Amino acid sequence: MTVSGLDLLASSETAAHATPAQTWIAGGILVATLVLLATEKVHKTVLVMLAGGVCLLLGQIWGYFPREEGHHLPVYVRMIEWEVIGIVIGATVFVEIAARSGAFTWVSVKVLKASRGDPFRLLVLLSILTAVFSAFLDNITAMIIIGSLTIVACRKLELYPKPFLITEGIMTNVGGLLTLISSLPNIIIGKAAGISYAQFVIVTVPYVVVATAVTMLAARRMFGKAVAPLADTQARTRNLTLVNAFDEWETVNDRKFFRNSIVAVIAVILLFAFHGQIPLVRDFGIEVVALGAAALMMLLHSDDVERDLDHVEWSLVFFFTGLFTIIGVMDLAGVLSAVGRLLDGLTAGGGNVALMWLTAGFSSVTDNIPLAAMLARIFGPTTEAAAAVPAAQWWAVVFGANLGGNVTPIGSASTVVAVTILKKNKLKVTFVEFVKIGGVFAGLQLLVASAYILLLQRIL
Amino acid sequence: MRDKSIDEFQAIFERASIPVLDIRELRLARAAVALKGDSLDASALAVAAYLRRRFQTQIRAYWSASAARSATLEAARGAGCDVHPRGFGSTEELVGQISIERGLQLVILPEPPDDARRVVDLDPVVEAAPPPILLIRRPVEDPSAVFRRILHSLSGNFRQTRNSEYSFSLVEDGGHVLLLHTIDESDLAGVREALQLTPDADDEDRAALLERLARRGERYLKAVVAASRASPYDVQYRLATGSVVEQVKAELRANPYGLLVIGCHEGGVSRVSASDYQLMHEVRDVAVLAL
Repeated sequence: MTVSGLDLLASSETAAHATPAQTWIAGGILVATLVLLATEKVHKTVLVMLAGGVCLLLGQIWGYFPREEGHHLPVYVRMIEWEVIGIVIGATVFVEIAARSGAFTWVSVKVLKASRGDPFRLLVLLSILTAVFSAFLDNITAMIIIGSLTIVACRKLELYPKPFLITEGIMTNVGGLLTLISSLPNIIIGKAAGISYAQFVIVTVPYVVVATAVTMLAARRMFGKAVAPLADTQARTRNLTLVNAFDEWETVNDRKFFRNSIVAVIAVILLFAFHGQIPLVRDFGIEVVALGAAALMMLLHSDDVERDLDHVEWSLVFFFTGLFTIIGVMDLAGVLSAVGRLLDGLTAGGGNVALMWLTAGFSSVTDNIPLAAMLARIFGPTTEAAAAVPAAQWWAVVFGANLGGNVTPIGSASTVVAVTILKKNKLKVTFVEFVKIGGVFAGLQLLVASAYILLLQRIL
Repeated sequence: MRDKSIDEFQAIFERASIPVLDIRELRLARAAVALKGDSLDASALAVAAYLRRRFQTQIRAYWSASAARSATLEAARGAGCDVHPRGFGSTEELVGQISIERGLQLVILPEPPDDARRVVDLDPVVEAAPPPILLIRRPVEDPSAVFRRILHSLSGNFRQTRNSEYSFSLVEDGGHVLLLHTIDESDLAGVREALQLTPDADDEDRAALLERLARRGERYLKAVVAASRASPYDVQYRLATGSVVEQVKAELRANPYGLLVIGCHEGGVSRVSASDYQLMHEVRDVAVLAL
């Protein structure tokens, strides 16, 4: 595990010890920030950057930041988890260019045709594809691609698209558990816990397989006739003709670019998975792999680098810089230790399973990134209890943060996109209607995850 | 940004699919026949009478001065046509009479291939008259034979594919329609238009463009055939590459057809390509329906 700038700050002899008053004031700022984040009254990036500035000011007044001889690196630069930001920037640019080749739309149409137009096969295959895409793309892009195809396919097949889109929105969060870079909480937790890409996949894939099966069976039962397999031969023939009328190559404009992108995506996945075993590459984090892949794709297939860089979610990058600054100061002010003790109390008796449900509950109503970042710091290497953190505790946070977003339509970006696509196609989903469906799905997924956490506790 | 991406991806998948082809057979309620006083007037009237019997079509008869001098008008009345009160003296007058007539779905025009004393110029009528024009090019003994085997030439766009409804409506029960889709290699601009290519596809090579167009054309044809599957006539398709004119002529030489369907028609507007014009003038042995 690498030692961050914050570790150095915390261990510095010049760092001051926080007083109870400072802990309360800093805690108040944290709570106010989280509440404002949940209300979405102010743009989250602006809010977090302002709060980060206030925290820095207080940290300076309270004497948390040591004066160093010969170093002029701003203190907040060392608080930021640059590995996380590197992955976000590198993966976004790489995926943006790869997606432009038509590789993902090509695969989507292939999968649609494999469904033969049967509603239940379509639901299962598109949901699995959504989960797989979420593992490699960001959840929003995955949902936009699959959701758009779903709308077009349902129109042709005369199917009601709502069950399909809601299930897909929910499956993006299940797919978000597949790899270390599938979601931002994974990246943050993985970095703090020192979990490698391969380790992450080995632990989460069995869960994702079972959760997908459970979700599909629940969807079949919940949506009834809308997703029932076709019994009539004439209808099966008609639907087969309609899906076969799709041509996957229509989504590809340049076959060389397409082939190169497929090769690049596979190569990057392999590099992520085995970077720990490859000489030289293993000396760097996977953020270097992501940034390197992005640079190579821009060199080979970008006719407008500025445009490709515009696709980086700069608001997210700034959000992270502010968030890591806040969490750094909170740690120094003793707030995170206090939250850790509070969590111990709240989850007493329930252990990691209770922690997972608590994390899921929080993630269902607000952004799961601050929570993941805070818990990563609480359980991370700078806290006293770091050495004693059991591995299952990290997984509880990972499962909770990812699955909690399935409860409400605003719980995750992908469910927001699913609802947006439905609205654009004149199909309304009310908050209550979504919660009735999403709550059942999330409840089942969390129950399976609870059993899995208990199993992990025994074997890890 | 997010909304824009959703729209963009929906457009990509719409393009990857083919539009749902809701091909309904036309109810031929109103048609017209233009009598010019030439050798094929009787054949045109025979076809009109056949349509009237088959579809209960109301037939309007337009006539020129030379038609009025012959017994043609009496024959028209005898065939149950509603004869226009005024004759036409020029192409413009005929087009004017057709244009103000509401609800006309077809105009039957006798057009002997070697008519030196032309009263009506064919091209302006096809261009300006709102309904499709059925050209009678040779004497018709059995009008039903015209509609027993139909060759429909398609060059690939969606509107034109939808126009298969004309062939499907006119073909006799137990008859045969061949949809001949020819990809014209020389018309690369047309290829790009048909594929709705975006500007960033400039580097795609010619062979790849043609291959895409062929795949797209075949998907259209399969969908049309699938849409007509339950009908009491046989529909086949053939995909060809090369000159549209040469492919159509070769097919006409190889098999006996009664009617050739060309062009494209939508919302009262005809779109006839250069190849269609050439076919319209050069095909002499079968009736030609210029959509």
